[in-house]
Parts: sequence; structure tokens; C-alpha cells
Amino acid sequence: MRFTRILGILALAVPLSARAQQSYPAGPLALLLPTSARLAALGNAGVAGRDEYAVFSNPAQISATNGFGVTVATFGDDGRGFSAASAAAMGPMTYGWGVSFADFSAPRTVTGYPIAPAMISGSGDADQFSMVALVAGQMTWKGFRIGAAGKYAQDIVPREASTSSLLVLPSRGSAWLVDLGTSHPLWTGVAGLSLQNIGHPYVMRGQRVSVPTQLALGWTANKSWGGFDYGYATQVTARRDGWVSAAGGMEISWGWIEGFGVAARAGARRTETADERPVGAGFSFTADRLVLDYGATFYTGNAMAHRLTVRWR
Amino acid sequence: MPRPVPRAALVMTALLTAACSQALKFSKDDSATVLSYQTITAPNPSLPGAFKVRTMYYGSGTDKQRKEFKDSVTYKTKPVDVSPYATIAPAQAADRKKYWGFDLKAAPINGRVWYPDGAGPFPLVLVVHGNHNPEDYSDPGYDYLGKLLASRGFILASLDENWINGALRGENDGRAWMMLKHLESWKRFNDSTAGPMSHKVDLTRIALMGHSRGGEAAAVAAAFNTLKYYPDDAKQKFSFNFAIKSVVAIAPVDAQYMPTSQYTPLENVNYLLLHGSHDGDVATAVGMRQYERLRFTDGQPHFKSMFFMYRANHGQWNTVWQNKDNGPRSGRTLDLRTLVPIEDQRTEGKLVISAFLEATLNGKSEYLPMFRDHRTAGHWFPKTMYTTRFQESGYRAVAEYEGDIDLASGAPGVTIDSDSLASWKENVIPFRGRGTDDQRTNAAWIGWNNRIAGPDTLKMGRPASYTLTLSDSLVKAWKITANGAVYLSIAPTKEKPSPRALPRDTTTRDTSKAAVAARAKATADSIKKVPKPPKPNPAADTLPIDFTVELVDADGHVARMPLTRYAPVRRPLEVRLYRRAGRDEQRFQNLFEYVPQTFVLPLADFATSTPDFKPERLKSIRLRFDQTFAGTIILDDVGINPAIDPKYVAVPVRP
Repeated sequence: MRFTRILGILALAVPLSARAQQSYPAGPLALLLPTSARLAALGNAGVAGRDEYAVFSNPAQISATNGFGVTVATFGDDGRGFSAASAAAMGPMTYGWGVSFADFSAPRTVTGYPIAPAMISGSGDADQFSMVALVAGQMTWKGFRIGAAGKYAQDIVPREASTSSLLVLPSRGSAWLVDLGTSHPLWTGVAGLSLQNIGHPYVMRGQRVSVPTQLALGWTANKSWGGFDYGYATQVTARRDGWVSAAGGMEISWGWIEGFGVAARAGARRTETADERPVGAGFSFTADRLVLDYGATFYTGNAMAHRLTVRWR
Repeated sequence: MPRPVPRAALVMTALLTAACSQALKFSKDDSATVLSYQTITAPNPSLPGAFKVRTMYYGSGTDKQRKEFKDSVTYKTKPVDVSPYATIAPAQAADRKKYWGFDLKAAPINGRVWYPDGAGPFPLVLVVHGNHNPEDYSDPGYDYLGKLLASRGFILASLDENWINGALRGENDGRAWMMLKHLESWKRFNDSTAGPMSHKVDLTRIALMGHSRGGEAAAVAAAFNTLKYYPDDAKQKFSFNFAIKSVVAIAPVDAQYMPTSQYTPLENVNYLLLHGSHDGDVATAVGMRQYERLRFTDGQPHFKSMFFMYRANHGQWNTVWQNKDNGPRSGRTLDLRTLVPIEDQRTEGKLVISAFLEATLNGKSEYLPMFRDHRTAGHWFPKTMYTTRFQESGYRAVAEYEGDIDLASGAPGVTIDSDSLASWKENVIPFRGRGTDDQRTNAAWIGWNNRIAGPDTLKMGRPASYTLTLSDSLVKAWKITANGAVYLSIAPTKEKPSPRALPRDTTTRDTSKAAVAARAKATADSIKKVPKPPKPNPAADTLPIDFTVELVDADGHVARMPLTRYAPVRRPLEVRLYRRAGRDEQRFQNLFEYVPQTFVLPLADFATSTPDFKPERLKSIRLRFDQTFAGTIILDDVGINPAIDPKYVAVPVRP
């Protein structure tokens, strides 16, 4: 018991101590953004978590909730985001789907691609768009949950930097990708392992752009303490180029009657760029089948991204 | 920046949340009247006796988790291999072995004992807990019973079977077998030449007691006790044959273990069943099935009894489990306000269990009447409502409604007839839970409404009746005496049949034109005058049920007694377990459990009231529905004891 607590605290401490450092540039952007309010609040440490949105983090962890989740997000001044996910069981397998996109703008003078995650909090007169859609399947084999997902991800950005206000032509770059994952109970929680974004580089603006292929390993556990429940989510992510990121989050919840409860969450992670703050926070309210999650992530210049997820089971 | 949450949204959230919890609802408590009697004059068995209480432990002496069974054992016991009777998935088995330090092949025989400080020999009672969090040890939870029973001259051993608790299924034969292995150890303790138990245990007077899964295990152990082989595998040979006289089942489960895929049969032991109406774990009183299955076939005096305690839960009979029927967070799901105080529930447990053991192991027959009619000990019972069942080995079935589909026949030699009933059928008694599970006993469902349909709501017809008639040969064979008694088991329902249709009199019909026109006008007028019938609301039918029991002898003499003289007759007791509004309706098909109340009516009472009535020439038992004008009852276990032991019917209550 003490061991798991220490592990949880360490997992939280690692990303806080990590210095922000630019990751290897990769895209499309939607693959790097938290897809739900809960994930945003928990430092995007979702590889061992289990809810509708697990389909984005680890296909082995999708579970048939017979419900769905819908997230709306606002980034900076005019950025908007949307994601939805659901899963259902059919025979021995569970199938899930998800879609997520971010629609925001940036100054036309910005030339860099791939898009840095912090760009979503800015604004400008050049529209940018990033999306990912996926389907996944999961089953249990010899005590292990195993899953696979097929993804399509795309960025649409201005073709080139321009100061002209008359014509901005779009440029599209997309990739077909695969995720593989597994999970298994470990100690008093669940460990998850996912190899994400397996695929070929894609071409954008005539250049080959790498996809963020990464291996994510994480562990989650839920405990009780008096009238409260609390849980840890931890994750270590290693990109193909050697960039390593640790992430962790904790949530504490309290219910006063069956089916009703509130929860507070906080998380931290090593960010992709120095323009992102490492911490996230949020809360949720559960009323029987309805769960409302709010999550916030922070950027330099006091910019924030707000996400509100509505889950219905 | 996010907009601040509007105050209205917070108010709405608070209202929504508040609206989801339901208000307290109970059946009207009649305990002030029902428990106002006390005709038993013997000492209260729930109070401590004269013996000083001592304690000891026995066990493996190597237990990794339980200090008392490692360092403090008076007797060391050898672990046994329980694996043929219980299985655990390999992954789970590894975890358990790591925690406990042993696996099912080396199950410890651990027990904590309360015993009287005296020469003995004393009767032995084993109690085993049921399923619970394995790390929250359940065996100390019967401390209150141990102290009481030891002070009254019983040895109580509370068995440690925590190591078989947790997420296991189908292991109740293992729990039962362990009880018998404990008895083998007790034989060794008793046979030893030294030690506190040396020749202090009376192994001819043994009772097994269990709670929850342990309640089923106690009955299974009593069934295993007389077998030569484990029913599911003859490779496992049995040779126990202990003198198990009594079994106590506290809120037991049933059929989690089914020997040879059958419900566990049980014979020739005294049996006591306790169950709480507000049991948040074993929410249906499934122990009634074991109660029904118990048969007395050896001609020896035995009895069985059930106490269904209103507002009692599952765990308050164990001081560790308390009111956490749904685990540590029970307060979120279960409405704990509905429960009787913990002390009251334990007092009831102490009272009933102690009286039962005194009666069946110590021969203290002065406590027998409280099992026939609990009002004889009304002052001893905590103030709530009890439904009780009772049957002793002299009972002969007149009608149990099993085995045939003929409504007009009862047991062999018994015919059944009715008059003016609104409904009459035989059907199984359901449990309140959803699904197809039921009490596995059929009963007669009898409905009546003596009111004649029409605008005159006071117009009554002849009282309906239901009659069971015994053949002459049956009466002769049974040799019914004036000391006999009639048994009835009755559960009123909430159903109220519609008023009777007025019978058409066609013999004096005037067919003249004028008469026909007059009748048409009268009919039209009456239709105008008839008020709209109220919306059917069975739950609102709360009139107390009562009727007259008539016994008719072969000479036609009729003796009558009101049913309520012999026990309270109540509408089903309303049970709401959950805090969330609508959750009970979602989970249960009925918000009550049908628990038939047993009525034992001594024939001598009828003979006294009607001197011409000759019990020896009893011909018919008639239920005349003349007190409550409408209602429906479930009738089961109609029987006769031709000559009931007077100790059972002593000190009657005379309301």
C-alpha cells in the first residue's frame, strides 16, 4: 500500500522536475493534444486509464460503457475544439471509435510546421485545422487486454507564410496510422502499454514530416480513503527519436449518494515546448449516468485551453 | 476566461441532487400492541448467566496475518486440504498465498473460543462468518454472542474462514467441510488429558451456526455430517457423524452450493432462521427455502422456526460488519436511517439464539412457546415488528399445495372447497427480487370481497369461505386428540378483489312491457348515480386483515376462533433499502417480502369455546372471511399435530 502511494507521488513529481524542452517536431497536431477534459486535467496520462476516451490513448483500454463522450474546447481567443468517442461490446470484442479536431488561427507570418501544440492558444488571421479519427477493437487474451486502432490524422494549414490578406491557400498533410496496446492488472492497479502512431511520414508543403510514433507505459490505481476515492494516473512516453516525457495526475472524488459525486483533478507532464505550462487541472460532477468534466491547460502569456466533456452512460 | 458558473445552475444542481433521495417510508409499527404481552416467566435468555467467561484460541500456530492464531493458541491444530471443496483461479490463488502464507491445501483450523469457567461438560456451538473483506477479519464479530452463551453454559467457537473470503464463488461446501473438520479438532481437545477443554465438551450436544454464506454452510455441514461421501466426488470420503442437534442460520444465502446440482436437503435437526427485512446484502430472505426443505422424519422431537425482523439489516448481527451491507460506502447507497439500532438487532439475536440453544441443547422447554408465538416473550423483544414461522416434528400436512394441480385436493385424504371467493388459485410464492427466483413452495392464493357491487357500499353478501375437509380414515389414522393443534401459515397480500356481482334472479322476472320499461329506467338511473370508481391503488389497501377459523366436527358442531388471537396478521411490511428514489422499484418486483406467519391454534381452545365440539372427531377446517370484508391471502402449510407437546402451547397469549 505504502509502495503504491510512493510510486504515485513520484510519478507526479517527475514531470514537475523536468525541464521543458522542445520535442522532435512531428504532426499532425491532433495526435499531441489531450482529447478530453479529464485527460487534460491529468497531464494527458491516459495510457492506463479506462473511459470512453481511452480509444485515443490505448486501444486495449476501451471498455463498453454503452455510452458516449463529447468534448468541446476553447483555445485562446478564437480556437475551438471538438471530440467524441464511444465503445460497445459485440461478441468477445469491444469496439470503439473516436474523432477529435481543433480549429484555430495563427498569424500569417508563422511559417513553422509541424504546428507546435502551444499554437492553439494564439490567434491570427490564418485558419489552421487539425483532426484525427480512429476506430479500435479490444479483446482479452490470457488475462491481458489487447487492442489495436487504425487512425487517420490530418493537418490543414496555410500553404505558406504570407502577409497578404487576400489569398491564403491551404495545404493539407495527412497520415494513416496504427496504435497497438495492451494492459494488465499490476499490484493494486492497472498497467498499460501502447505503441502509438505507427506509420509513415507524410508530405506537407513538399517536405516529409514525421509522425509522433511513441511508446507509452503507464499505471493507474484507484483507492479509498475514508469517504473519499482517489486515483493516480502515470505515464512515461518515449518518442522514436529518444525524447522522453513523464506525466502524472491525481484525482480525488467524493459522493454523497449513490450515483452522485464531485471530483477534483490535477496533473502535470513534460511539455512538448516551453510555451506550454506543465500543469493541468479540472473537476467533474457526476449525476447518475451523466458526467460533466472540466479541464484546463495553461500556456505562456496567461493563455488557457478549456475543455468540457459530457459523458453519458 | 471561463464565465462564472451561474448561481441558478448551482441551485438547480442542489435541487436535482436532493430530489434524488427518497423520504423515509415504513409500514405502520404495531409493536406497542403486539409486544405488550409477556407470558413466559422464565429468566430472559438474552441476559448473562451465572458462569464466569473465559476465552482461548486454537489454530495453526503459524498464521502470518493473525497474531492470535500464531502466538496465542492454546491448542495447535494441523492445517487441512480444503482444495477438493473450493477452487480459486491461479492468479488469485498466488495473491492469496502471498498474503496469507498458505493456500487451500493447507487451510488452518483457527478458532476463538468463549467458554464457561466450570467443570462441564458443556454443549458446543460453532459459529462461522460469511463472505466479507478478507482483510477485515469477521470472526471477532460474534464476541457479544460468545460472552452471553459462555455465561449461560455453552462453549462458543467462532471459526476463522477469512482466508476463503473475497471474490470467490461456489466455495460454500468448503466452508461447510471446514466446520466438520473443526468438530474433529474439538473431539481431540475433549479427549486430551490436559488443557482447558479436557473432558469439558459435551459432544452429544452440538449446534452449528453461520451467518450469510456461513448460514448456508452450517446447513450444508449438517447435511454432510451423515454422509459417507462428498456428494460431488466419491473420492472424498466422509466419516463425521457428530451429534449435531441444532442449526442456526443468520441471514443465510441459499444454493450457492448445490450438491449433485440439487438444493441441499436437510433432515432431523432443529433449525432457527433469522433474517432482516432491510438486508442490503442478501436482500431476499432465501433462507426460507432451506427452512421449507427441512424435514423431520425420525420421529424425534425437533422444531424449526424463523424470525423475520423488520428494519434489521444483514451485518448488524456481526460487530465487525455493522451497517456496511454494501461495503465501506454503504451510506451512499443504502438508507441507513431505516435500520433499527445496532443494539436492538443484537439483542434480538441474543434473545432468539440463546432461547433456541437453551431449548434444543439444554432442554429448557420454558422457551419453546416463544417460537410458536413470539408475543409470549413480548417484553424481551426490541420494539419492532416480527413475522415468525414455526413447525415441530408432530406436524402432519393437511395441504401444502405441492405435487398436484388440483385445487380441490390437499394432502392425501383431504378435499378442498370454497364458497363465494373472488379468486382462488395455487401458485408459487415469489421472492421480492426481480427474475425468476422464488421461494420454491406453492401456496393457495385466496381472495374475497363480501361487498355486493352497486351504489350501496354497505351491502354485503354472505362471507366467503375456504374449507379443507379431512376423510374419516385420515382422522382415524392420525388419532387427533383434544391436545392437538391446527397449523396455518398466512401472508396477506395487498391485492383487493372487486366487489361481487349481484346474482341475477330470473325466477320472478316480470316480462310485461311496463315492467321491462321500468327496469330500463331504473338501470339508467342507477348508472347515473354510481360514482366513478376510484383508481385502483392496491398499496392503499391497509385495512387490517382478520377472519374466523371454524373447526367442524363430524357431528356438525362448529367452533370458532378469530385468527388474530394466535399471532399478528399484517399486510406485507414495506421495505425500502436505498437512498436513491426509485432504486428499490428498479431492483425489486415488490417492495416487501412475502413471509407467511405461522398460526398454531390449539384444538383445546375451540373445545373450550364450544363444548359440543369434539376435536377427536374433527372433520373440517374452514376459513370464514367475515371480519375484513375484502382481501387476499397466501395460505400455505395447513396442518395438524394430533397431539402437540403441551410445552409448545403453554403460556398462551390471550388478547
